[in-house]
Amino acid sequence: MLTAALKENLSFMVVEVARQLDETFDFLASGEVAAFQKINSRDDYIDNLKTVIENCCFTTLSEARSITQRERDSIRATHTICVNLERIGDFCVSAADQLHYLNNHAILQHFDYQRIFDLLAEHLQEVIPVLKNGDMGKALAICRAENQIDDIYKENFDKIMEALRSGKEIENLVTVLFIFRYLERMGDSLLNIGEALLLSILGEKIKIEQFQALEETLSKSGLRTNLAEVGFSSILGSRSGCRIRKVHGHNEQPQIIPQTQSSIFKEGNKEKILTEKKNLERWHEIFPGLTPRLFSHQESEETASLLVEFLPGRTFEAILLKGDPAELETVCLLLHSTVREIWKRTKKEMPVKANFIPQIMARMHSVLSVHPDFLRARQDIGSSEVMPTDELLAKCRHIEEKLAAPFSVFIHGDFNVNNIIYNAARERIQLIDLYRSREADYIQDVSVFIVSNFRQPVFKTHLRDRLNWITRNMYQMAREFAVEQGDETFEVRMALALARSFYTSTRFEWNNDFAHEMFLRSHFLLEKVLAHQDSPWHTFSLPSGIMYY
Amino acid sequence: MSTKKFDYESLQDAHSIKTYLVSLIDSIEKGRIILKSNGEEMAMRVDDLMKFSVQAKKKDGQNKLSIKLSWSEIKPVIKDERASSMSIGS
Repeated sequence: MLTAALKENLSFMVVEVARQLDETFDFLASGEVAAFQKINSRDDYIDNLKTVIENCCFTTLSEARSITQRERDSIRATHTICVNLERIGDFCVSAADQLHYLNNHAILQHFDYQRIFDLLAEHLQEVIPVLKNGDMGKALAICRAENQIDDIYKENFDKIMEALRSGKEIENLVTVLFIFRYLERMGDSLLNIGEALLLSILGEKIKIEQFQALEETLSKSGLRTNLAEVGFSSILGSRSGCRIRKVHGHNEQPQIIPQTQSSIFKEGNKEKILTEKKNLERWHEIFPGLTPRLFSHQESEETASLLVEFLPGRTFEAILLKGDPAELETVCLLLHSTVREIWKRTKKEMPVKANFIPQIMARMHSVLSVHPDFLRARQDIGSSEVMPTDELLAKCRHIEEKLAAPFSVFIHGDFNVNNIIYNAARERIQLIDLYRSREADYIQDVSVFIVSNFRQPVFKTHLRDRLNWITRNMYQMAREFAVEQGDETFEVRMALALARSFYTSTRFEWNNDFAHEMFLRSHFLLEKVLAHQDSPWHTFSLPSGIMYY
Repeated sequence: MSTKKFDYESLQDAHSIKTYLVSLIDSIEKGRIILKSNGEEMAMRVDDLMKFSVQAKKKDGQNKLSIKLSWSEIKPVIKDERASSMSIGS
């Protein structure tokens, strides 16, 4: 894996940093000037070793003809380790240098810095063996040593503060505090080294907190907790702020996660995660198999985590961009029948307000932080008045108050094209990312779906034609459903829903021309609704061209 | 010399476009075009003579029609050379 030269130099570096720690400890204890010179000159040697290792890492990465992911991870880990070893070396010099400001050397001896040096030395000697044999337990112990160092720092910090309150030896005590601060930062570097070792073992960049959450969640699900035996694969991006990892089950795992089945680990904001859990349970009751199964969950004070089934298949987004036309047609038909079935099963004769305008208002700050000029001012063009955005929204909100949907359905809540999965083997549609699901106006899911098609950053004519075709079919399906259900205000609510989705989606769009197009469409729809307010709402006609690009 | 600017861009249908155009035509007829943005006013006095251009372009299914009016508000100074060079002798 690592070249012999790389291994050798890294071993040298560990030895040198360990010696540097020893010398620094001795200097802090004795205060002998000669020791400081040695620390200083060793620092140069450590810096050189770092440069050699860095060069070696980059050369190996760029020159190797074929390199496996595992080897690449190992080199990345080695690089992180050498950078952090060098930092520990630097902190040694900085801590030792502080001794020059100490008038009373004896004062330092009242504080327990030895335990920090002992912990650092103990765990540094494990770095090379762990890198070689992938001992997960020892890698975790290195990570957790940082917590112990923090605790020792805190004890000493409190002691220094107490001594400062006496008003004596203030300058010396401040210097002692500085020394401890450098020792505490050495702990931070040790943690980075531990996390780099986890990367080399697991093939995933993972933070110790996430690791613990995953370990607990897996353990709760009945899986063995030795994560070294559980495969990780690509990190799937998510806008929800939850970190998602795919965890492969292994043959010897119990039946909770079936053989060859993978699962998704989500960890993050407690409220979001617990809402998703509740929604997954609800979806499972309504429509078993439509959404991922929930394997287990775990809560701590601030965060929570879920282990859910990984749904194999492709996203609707992938199919619409790359699938062949016949497949796309099949998937669209399947999607429509699935959506209609959801609406049928979950329909409740209970009027529900969609609150599209308040949703725009709530996201206005995020929109303006990306596009500061996406707010229309009051303008006059001759005798024609242009209504400013805030007034337009306030008036439309007032209109919307009287435009509740005649019934509710259980909506997905974020019905984007990348939250819809098509499983070709089982010929079924499945849904993911369900933390926004709730009883609401079915139009919301339709409008989000339409705008998620619209805002695909593709501009080739044949792809745009495809997107427009998908949009038209989804709209027609929803409109037919509205007619069947006697939903007379469908078109005006759709106008408000589209205005909401166009406006709020601009916060994800950095292409200013395209975002501006959506901003203008949103205003056009709002003005259109406002202009109709003195006529019966069932006569409102949605200018359908607004959905196509 | 200060530069004043007014900028408005929107999406309209044929009916609402007409409203804006009619209001501009009315202003031209009245001899004064007033444009306001956030209370800040820009007034343009219409001249007897204005440059009027219509430009249109069609490319890859995209249409563009520009209507442009431009004129100067600074009137040329008309000097009576004879009058200024006249001198009264005694």
